[in-house]
Amino acid sequence: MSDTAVSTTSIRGFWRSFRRSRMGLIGLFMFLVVVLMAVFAPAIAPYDPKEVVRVTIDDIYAAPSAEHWLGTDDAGRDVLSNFIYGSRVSLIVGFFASFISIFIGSFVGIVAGFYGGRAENILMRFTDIMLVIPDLPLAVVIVALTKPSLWNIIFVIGALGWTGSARLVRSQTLAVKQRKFVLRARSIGAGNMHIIRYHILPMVLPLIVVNTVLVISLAILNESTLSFLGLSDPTALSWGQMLNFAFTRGAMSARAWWALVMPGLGIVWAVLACTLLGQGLEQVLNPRLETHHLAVGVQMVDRGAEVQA
Amino acid sequence: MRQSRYLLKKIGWALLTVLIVILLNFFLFRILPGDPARAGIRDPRLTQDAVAAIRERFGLDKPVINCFESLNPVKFGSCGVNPLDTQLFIYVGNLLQGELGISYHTNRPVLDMLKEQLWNTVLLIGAAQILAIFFGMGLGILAAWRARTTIDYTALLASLTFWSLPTFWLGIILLFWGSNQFGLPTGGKATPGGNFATVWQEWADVGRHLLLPTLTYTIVFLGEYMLIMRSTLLDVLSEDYILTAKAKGLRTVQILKDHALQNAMLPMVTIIALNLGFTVAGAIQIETVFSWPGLGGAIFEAVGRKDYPMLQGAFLLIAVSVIFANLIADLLYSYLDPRVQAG
Amino acid sequence: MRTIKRDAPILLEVNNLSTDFLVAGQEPAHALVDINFRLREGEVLGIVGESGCGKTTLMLSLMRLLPANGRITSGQINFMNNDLLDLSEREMGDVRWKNIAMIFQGAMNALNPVHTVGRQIAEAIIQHNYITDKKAVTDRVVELLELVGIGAERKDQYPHQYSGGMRQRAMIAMALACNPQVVIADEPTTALDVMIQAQILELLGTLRDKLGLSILFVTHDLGVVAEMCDTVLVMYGGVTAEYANVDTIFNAPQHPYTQELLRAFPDLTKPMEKLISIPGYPPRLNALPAGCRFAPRCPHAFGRCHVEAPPLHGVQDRHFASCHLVEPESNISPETPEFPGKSNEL
Repeated sequence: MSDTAVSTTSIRGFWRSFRRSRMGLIGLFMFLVVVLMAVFAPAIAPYDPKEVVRVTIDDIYAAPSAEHWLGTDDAGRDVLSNFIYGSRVSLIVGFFASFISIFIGSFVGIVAGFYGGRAENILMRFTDIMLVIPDLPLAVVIVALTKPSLWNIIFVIGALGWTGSARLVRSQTLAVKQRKFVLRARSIGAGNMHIIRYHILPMVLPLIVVNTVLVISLAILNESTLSFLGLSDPTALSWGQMLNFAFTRGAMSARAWWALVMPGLGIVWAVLACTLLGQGLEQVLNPRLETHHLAVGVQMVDRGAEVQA
Repeated sequence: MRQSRYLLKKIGWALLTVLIVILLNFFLFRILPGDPARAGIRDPRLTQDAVAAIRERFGLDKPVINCFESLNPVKFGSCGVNPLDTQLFIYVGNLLQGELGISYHTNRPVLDMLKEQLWNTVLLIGAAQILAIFFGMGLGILAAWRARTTIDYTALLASLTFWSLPTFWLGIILLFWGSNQFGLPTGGKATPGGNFATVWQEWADVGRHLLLPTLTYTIVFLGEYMLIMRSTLLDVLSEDYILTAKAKGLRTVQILKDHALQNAMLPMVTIIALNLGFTVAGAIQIETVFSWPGLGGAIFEAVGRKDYPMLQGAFLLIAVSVIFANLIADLLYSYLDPRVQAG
Repeated sequence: MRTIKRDAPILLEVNNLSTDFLVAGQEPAHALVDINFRLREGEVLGIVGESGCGKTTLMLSLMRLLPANGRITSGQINFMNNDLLDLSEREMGDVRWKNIAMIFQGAMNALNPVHTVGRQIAEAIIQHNYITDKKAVTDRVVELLELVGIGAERKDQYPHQYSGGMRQRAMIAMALACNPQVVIADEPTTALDVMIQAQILELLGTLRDKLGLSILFVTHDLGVVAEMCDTVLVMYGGVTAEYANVDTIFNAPQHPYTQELLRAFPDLTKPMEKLISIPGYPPRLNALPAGCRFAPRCPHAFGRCHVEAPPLHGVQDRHFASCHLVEPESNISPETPEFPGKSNEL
């Protein structure tokens, strides 16, 4: 991995290189759409999902109509409104869980990379062990044994998702630690905390930001999976939960595709937004060569007609 | 010499990880609120005798471990207790004898149930992983070779999208579509009550059931493998030795085959191994959606039925399988990379 | 002291070779402009200049191994009565290594880490059907390794088990695998420490004499040039600065750039003389000066230098320099330039 060439101080420079990545721009746009949808859910959604409604048999899995653009679900509720409100839980879990993961991961990575020695050995061995233990089954077990509240889910996803970040941050810290300005700071007697705060962290931060975006997408996927498996906060409506209800309560046999398609598209949208955004940021941070030795170029020999002496 | 030391080290770490998983498995189920001692005994389906039998078999009347009275959410022993007379010791002892408990739901030994399910999962994951690795790598090679062309961007975008698909949702959609359009089976491993004249027909029936889950699995993992292959191959193809190979007059296909792929396989093997955890996550979702009688589905059902011995057993088996698959990947790596053998 | 015929047959004749690098959204960068040279049988031609002067681009152009954005825009590369630029990619693949082989700089990365050295040498032999019998291929690999001073038993080892100097030796052995007519050595000693450099140079010198190799020797080290080369092509910013026999270059350099390079080169016979480095840097290809490319750093530059690029003047027989200060004295027709070749004594 090359050293981070982009400084965090020049936001304009950062934007200028980010703008060149079409994928990154699309991702940013998609991401903003979800965030706006979540923030303004009450204003956009035609119905309030918490409102008490009287449901008749005709309201259950009703096909899309002028009244319910995306039909209704097993409880006769408006799928579109649930869908809009559902974005909130995905984003809340995505943000908070990834915050926990990134915090633990950065802490472990910086401490291991910076201090080295026994601390590094123990921390990285622990990370390797955690990396091997499969996340989702463990999350299922823990959430199943505790109460599946929103905060429990956030905590479990966050506490299990830090290993990748720890390894990434550690290797970047190791690289930065060898740089001249760090060695110089040390030689004039700067303390460890000072070096970490003013020299290591600013250089590692851009990588952490890129990584955060990817961890958010993983957290959203994990939340939806847990919810789909029935391990969701009953009071927090989420896309995964909508799919769980639809799948376990007869949407398949009722052929109510509207109840199955939309929540999934929401998850794909949010996850893809983060993934594309991550690709764009990565391109800024770690620009790849445009070419390689086997790249199929246009004709290498292209002599103009004039020189044929 | 050095290689055997490398092997021993790797095996040692795998065993340590297994040990940690066993401890984790033991304590999670006893410290978290729903421990089997209480949940099992509260289960109204059990008779008094059965409860007594469970208690005795798993030593649930014994202290969890000795010397742990300060942490006392359940019933920890005091330091005077003989360490051999604790739940932990009995648990590990039972484990070593293959005793994983009795399912609350079916009243059958957990180990017997897991054995059947393990093979179903291996069949499903195996078929799908082979397809995903094959097509994912192929697509990755194509994209890297044609880097920065329309082919590359199309493949890249498709892979990112595949990666972003929730496995269970793709399964639902394919199931909905496949069963409505093509009359494919809606779940399970075989047609219930199916009467088959030959073994081949029976296998064909399993194949029909396997079709959609395998397809789902393949699509989800294909994207990931493509992305990894593309990026590692891009790195490898920028190396000087590729230019050397070209200067030696080798053709493009030869260079890819003889020089680029083995080098690109090194990170691939590591990442495939690290992804085994995700593979298992995928199995849980797919087996749930397609009612495939495997380990992943077992976890889901055990959660719903509060069948703790089953949940505990399935988790242990999955974790240990992943750990050993990782070990195999490490060994494969040392075989592929001569630098590891030299240490 | 080598004595080679003054007018040995010409092996490789490069005429007006120009190469561009295409840059998205910008004018192409002219990396090589009208390069001319002749390489005769048994001749060692040094290509000299600071890094970024187009030496490596020239070598890659000869082998047609430019990166995807490289474009050869004019000229001919005549080799054994063929213009290499007319060949198909497949035909070019047959010429590579069989006729023109290359020793890359930094053999650490130029050898594939996952194959044994022996296998990588054998691969070149088999590829060009130089030898087809399996046993004979192994014998040839052993012979080659021994030629460069590596024991036969090391053929089954991997590059990481070799030292830096040994890897470069292996690279040389690999280059010789098919007895190529021309060997391109692209800074073969740059990445090595001084002692190993001397050994590798000695090896190359021995092989040159023993096998009568024709070598294109790319280097920025004038000491190496003095030791190895018969003729010298001094490059600056993608153009020829000066082209002459090695004696002429060292004793009567005409181009200010060559003079500066020599001033920056320590002369061990005059230890007290102050070592001078040329101020400034070679021009970036995307920011070339108008006029002479060396003018901004040239101590003798005058008005005309900054507006008009000097053509390659024939200074004398077999001595060329591109500088306005060097006006042609004799009537050497630019149509039929007599380029420097072998001299009788070196």
